Amino acid sequence: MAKLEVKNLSMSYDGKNKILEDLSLSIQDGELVSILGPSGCGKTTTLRIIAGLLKQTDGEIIVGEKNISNLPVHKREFGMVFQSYALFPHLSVFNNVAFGLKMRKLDKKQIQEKVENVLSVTGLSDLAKRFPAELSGGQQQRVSLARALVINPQVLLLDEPLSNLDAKLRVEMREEIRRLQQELKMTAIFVTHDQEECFAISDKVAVMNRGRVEQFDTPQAIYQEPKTLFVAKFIGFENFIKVVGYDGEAYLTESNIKLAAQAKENTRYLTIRPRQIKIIETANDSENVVKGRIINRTYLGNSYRYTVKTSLGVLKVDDFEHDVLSRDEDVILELAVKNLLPLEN
Amino acid sequence: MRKRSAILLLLPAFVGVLIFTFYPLIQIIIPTLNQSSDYGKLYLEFLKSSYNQTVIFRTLAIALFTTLVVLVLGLPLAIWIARQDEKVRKLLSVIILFPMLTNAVIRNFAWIIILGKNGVFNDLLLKLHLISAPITILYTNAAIVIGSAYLFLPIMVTSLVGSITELNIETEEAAAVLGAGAMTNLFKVIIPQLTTGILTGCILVFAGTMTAYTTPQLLGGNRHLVMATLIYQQAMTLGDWTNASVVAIILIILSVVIMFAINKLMKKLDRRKVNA
Repeated sequence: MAKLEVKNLSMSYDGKNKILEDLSLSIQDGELVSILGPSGCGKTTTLRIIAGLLKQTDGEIIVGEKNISNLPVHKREFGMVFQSYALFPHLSVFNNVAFGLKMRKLDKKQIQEKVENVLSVTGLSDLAKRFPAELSGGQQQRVSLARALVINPQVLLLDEPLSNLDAKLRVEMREEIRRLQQELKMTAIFVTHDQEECFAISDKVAVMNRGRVEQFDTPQAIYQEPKTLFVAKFIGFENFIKVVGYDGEAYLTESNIKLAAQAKENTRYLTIRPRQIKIIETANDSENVVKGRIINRTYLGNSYRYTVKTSLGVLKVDDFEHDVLSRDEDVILELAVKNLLPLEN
Repeated sequence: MRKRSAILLLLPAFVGVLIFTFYPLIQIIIPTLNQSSDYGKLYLEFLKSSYNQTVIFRTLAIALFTTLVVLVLGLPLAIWIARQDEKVRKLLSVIILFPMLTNAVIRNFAWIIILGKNGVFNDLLLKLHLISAPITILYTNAAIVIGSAYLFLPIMVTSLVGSITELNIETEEAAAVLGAGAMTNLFKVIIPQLTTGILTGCILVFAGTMTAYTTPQLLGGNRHLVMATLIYQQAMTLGDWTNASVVAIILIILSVVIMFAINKLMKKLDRRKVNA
């Protein structure tokens, strides 16, 4: 268990196409950090470089005080959980878990003790003699986790460990992973493309896009204040208003409308969640009010989703309060200053 | 209904196997049956002869050695081929089969040229000063092993490449992360997962070598008979069809027993990956 530092990591197979570009991350002792991003963004590559399964083109990896950038994979003392679980099919659950300890040449008694201990922590004691093919997906995942934990790794690496499980089990397992990680005070990196999953278990989240970290922050900060267009889109914002300038008080949109929002450099877009746009009765003289016409309506259960055509473009609005409005009705929308977020490109 | 049509569809194959496999077998047994009423004695007498014992032992030893050589050479080659891109892998899998496309006689003549007293191999050893005078390789058991290994390597490699490409490469990565170096990984993770492929390859090579005729005939000469060449000698040179039948039946029984044993072993090892 230690602090993990990734400095200026670059990765390229052919020298031209960069898979990772100048990527840096700093993970504190005992922290669980998620790397979140769409497929192909380089998140798995990052994890594999940290594990030592891939060699970086450039950059450093530091664990505790030790630079391990050039250490071969089998000397890095990490634990890793794979998407396919990667259990050894020819070994029993017990021997799967004992594998790492045998590599460390522990004596039989110690191995027995440690394996039994971790099997009981992960709820696998009854399955010790089974073979992987005789286990359910969830049980295999537990074995995979136990096998990684038993060696008491410096850092626990999890590569989309839940993506092969069904929805209910996924929630159960992620809570289990979080519980174990906190109990053992383990530094961990969790790679996923599922934002709900990563928000639920992480101390911090690194959102990746095209080989770069777009934002590295707490889940709350990322959810409430995405910094870039990509992050906002990825975590579910749907309204994006392009801006072309800032006059000291308000942003000027493409359609020449002024919108007041928090001032920030390099702002290219403003965004607001559909449920934070208010439908108001009369246009008062407050700021950020725009007229529009409903062009579509969808029932979402606890609200109605209106698609409203306005001079700012088409906006999605979720309304919980009003009676149901119908298509072609004219409405007045208020985009409250505090809810309108500036985004970089 | 369905079952009946399945039986009907299987009938031609069944009859084919019956005629082409079992009829010749019966034909082989007939000479020993005609010869004497006490045919058990024929076998006992044959097995008592120390010359025949040597031939049987040589046959088994050559088959075993060839299998081991082919396995040791074939495994690294198969791993290397299996780990190439799909395109390269397919190309290599075809290239590896090339020895099997040439005629057995021609193939063995090539080995005669290579292994002879003035052959390429002796030349090379002399030039490297590893030996001072040419050594005899041709017409020894070693020559038979070399020729058989060359013939059966493609079969072993093909059998192994299939198994290796089916391995989950993440198991090796998992082992590496857990501290296994390349060699540990090979012996503790890769090979144990390949038991089925290895044993299948071994059965094919062993049975093939044990029953091969051309290679031991051409590379072993008349002084290093194996059972297959002994059968030929008995039947064609000495005209003793009864004895030839006896050898043939012993050869068949030996092959079947060994294959059953390996099969049994395979099933035992396979139990560990039910439904895998």
